[in-house]
Amino acid sequence: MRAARALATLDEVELGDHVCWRMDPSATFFADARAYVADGALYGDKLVFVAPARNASGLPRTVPEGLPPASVVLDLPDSANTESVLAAVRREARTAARQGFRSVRVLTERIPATAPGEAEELLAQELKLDEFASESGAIVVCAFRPSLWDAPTLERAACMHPQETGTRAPRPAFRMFSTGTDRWSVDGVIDSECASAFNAALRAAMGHAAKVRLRFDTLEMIDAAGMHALVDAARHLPDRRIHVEGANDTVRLCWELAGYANDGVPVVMAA
Amino acid sequence: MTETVPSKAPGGPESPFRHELYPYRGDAQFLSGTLGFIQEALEGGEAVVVAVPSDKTSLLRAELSDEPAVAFVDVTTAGPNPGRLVAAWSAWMKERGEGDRPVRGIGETAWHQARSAAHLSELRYHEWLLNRAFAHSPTWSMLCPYDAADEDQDALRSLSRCHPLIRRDGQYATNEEYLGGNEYAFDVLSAPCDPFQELSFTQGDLAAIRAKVSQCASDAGVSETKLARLAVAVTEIATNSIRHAGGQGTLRTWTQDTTFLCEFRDSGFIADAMAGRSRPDTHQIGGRGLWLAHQLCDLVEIRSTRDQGTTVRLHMDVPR
Repeated sequence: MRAARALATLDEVELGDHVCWRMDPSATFFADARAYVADGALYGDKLVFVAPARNASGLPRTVPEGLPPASVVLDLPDSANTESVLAAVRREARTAARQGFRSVRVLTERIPATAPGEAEELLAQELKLDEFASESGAIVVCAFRPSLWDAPTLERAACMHPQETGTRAPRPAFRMFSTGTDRWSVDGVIDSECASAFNAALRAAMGHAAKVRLRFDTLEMIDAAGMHALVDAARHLPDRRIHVEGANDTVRLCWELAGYANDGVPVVMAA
Repeated sequence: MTETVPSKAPGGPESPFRHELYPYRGDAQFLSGTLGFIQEALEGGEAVVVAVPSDKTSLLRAELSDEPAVAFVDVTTAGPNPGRLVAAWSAWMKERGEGDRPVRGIGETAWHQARSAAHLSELRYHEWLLNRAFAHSPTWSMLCPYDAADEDQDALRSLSRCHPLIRRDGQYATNEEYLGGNEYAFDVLSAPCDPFQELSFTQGDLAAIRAKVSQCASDAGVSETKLARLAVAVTEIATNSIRHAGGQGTLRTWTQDTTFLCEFRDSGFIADAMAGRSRPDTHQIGGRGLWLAHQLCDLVEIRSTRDQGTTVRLHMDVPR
């Protein structure tokens, strides 16, 4: 069972982790990831580097130097396209398995969106990468330079990583991470300050799934805004349903009190 | 000075809802007044919902045998907070109304069992709010028996101000002591007990508020179950301050006797006296915060004016 946790350094990654790495402002991306890459060689993991569409300065992308010989650089024409990125990393994971590697270590630096719809696509891609890590046991590290991001967008992206590390990396209010196909675990607290992030995460998860299952075992609390975000996400597209399991007594009581415990709501809240 | 009004007159000058205070002394008067009220209902084909203390329930049950049009409900199932009673009465009377069938309620509060002055004050305010809650409910009426045996005229006068009609000798009449209009004369909130903890908050502070309240409430002996409920309630009230009252507010917490209190002050104004008193509709977008606070806390006090802003006090009882 995957669990959310904070990592002091990238040395602590484990198979199946999907890490939000908040980089130090002075960090050099690949230099700071060198130990992670080297550990991959030590443990028999193949490095898959997903090159960003452009680098942090907006200049044309460059391929880092000093990668291990068995590394793969995915220099995709559109690294913002979730389907193409996922297809590529899944292909590399299968290849790595055939080649005898223990797993793959995916490394990518996230660059803020500029085109319309890219922010939503980023969330969808993070969820898909999380599902990939959960199902394959791959390690996925997504690097973010906080100075480049507006805080709400970075917070939304961070919520979709079960692990976080880096300089002054705060624990997200909640985290939503994969526990199987179209199954997600939600931990932490969902209140009015992060309800829109929760809504965005759910919408991304429901984009290609008619039914989504959420585990609330480690969700401490959800307020009225959070419950509305949940219902709104389920109603956003027709014929969608969310089945929530493992909610604690207070969450289920609030759900009933809020008037959502009826057949007209496409969300079922179970114990 | 009262005057007799026709039997089908509205409860107040503008309202079709009949809300009658019935001061009585002794079981015989209790029975004569309530049975007369029930008899009127049965003759008119109306249903009756009775929510009275258990000893009074026994008295009425003995007289009514198994009259199907009369339903007895246990008011304690609504919980300790009078702020939940409007919704509870709405549900009980809607359930018995079966469409457009007129329903009468008999509700006697066990006033002598009030847990504190604040609880007593909120019980009275609930009685006043009933006039608003059911103002547009022509098919509903309510009789509120009040045991006046203790001859406490101040208490009777306070309660009398909340009822537009008063029943005496089998007749109801306009109650000239009733406080009509839109303003309720609230009791002044007592000062916080020393030592109290204080925290100013703004956007981004909800986690800090919950941490502060959890620590103080835990120290005060609030149970784990109530801590979880209080976390939701304080989140809702603080969110209201942040979203609707200039983005900031002040939290104070303290313990008074066997009650843990959280007080939120902000510059906002709650115009709707009924806010948080009615069960939310599935499709409504907002308006659940105060409702949840009322349902999750043992008592909620709200004072709100345009000039002085809003104060919300959340009470949680602590085991003795």
